[in-house]
Amino acid sequence: MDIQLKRGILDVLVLSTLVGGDSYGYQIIKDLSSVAEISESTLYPILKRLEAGGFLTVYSVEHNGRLRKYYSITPRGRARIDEFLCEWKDVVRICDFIERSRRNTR
Amino acid sequence: MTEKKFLKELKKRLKGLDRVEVERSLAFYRELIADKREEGMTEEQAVASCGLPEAVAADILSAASEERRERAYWSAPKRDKKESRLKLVLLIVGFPVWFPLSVAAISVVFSLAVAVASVLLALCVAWAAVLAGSVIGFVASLFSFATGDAALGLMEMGTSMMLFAGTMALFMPIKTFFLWLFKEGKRLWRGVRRRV
Repeated sequence: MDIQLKRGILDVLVLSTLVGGDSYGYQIIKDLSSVAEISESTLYPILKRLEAGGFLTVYSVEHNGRLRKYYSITPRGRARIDEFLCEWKDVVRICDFIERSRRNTR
Repeated sequence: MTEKKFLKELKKRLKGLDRVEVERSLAFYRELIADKREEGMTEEQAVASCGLPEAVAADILSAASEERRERAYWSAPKRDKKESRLKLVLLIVGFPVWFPLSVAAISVVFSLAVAVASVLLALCVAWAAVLAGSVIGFVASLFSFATGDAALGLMEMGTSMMLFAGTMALFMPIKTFFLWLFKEGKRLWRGVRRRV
């Protein structure tokens, strides 16, 4: 898959795990394991990018004598998900068009 | 692999990233490993499931360089040119200031080096003179004995022996000092040459 496209999709996918409530690194990986193979080393840059873009915020919570980082989606993050779903409808329309034109020329 | 080894390897490979960023990456993996172990994985399994430190570091570095490239694409090229031109102008305008100052600095360093060298040379000359004096005194005492002036001969012989003992006692410390000076000087010279 095109790298830019994949990156955009994974960003939104990670954001979507936060819609139901704040979450932490390992939980996000587990939540996503059924949909997509997201490795630890892919998740880290995505979270960093989303934080830098203001799509999520980070805070630390003490857990079993250590700090655990929780990620919280911002309004901007929610808007990004809506935007993505709209864009995706365009992508689907374009795909249909491509498919149809291939069938017609054959 | 133990967690400690994994984090150490990762840290080693993240050299070049700024310190805060390295610490953040390590903290992320430290947390993941702790969470996995809490769920029942052994240390070995938890570390292995994070991937090899080489691969993890490569992912972090490539994401960082991508970010840099994107930022550079928007901001860098224009400023770069302006900056170098500004530097050139400053260099020319500032010539009457920096040139005499650097000449003065070089002369101060040079004269200090000459002063130190002359003190050392004077010490060596003094030491050699004392040694020569003791030898001459010894010879003179033999002449005095031969001419029958025993008192003078004894005094000359005693003095020359004392001087000789003194120079011999000083020989080893002076030698080690000069060897040390030579070694340090060589190291300093090599360091200066590497930097220039």
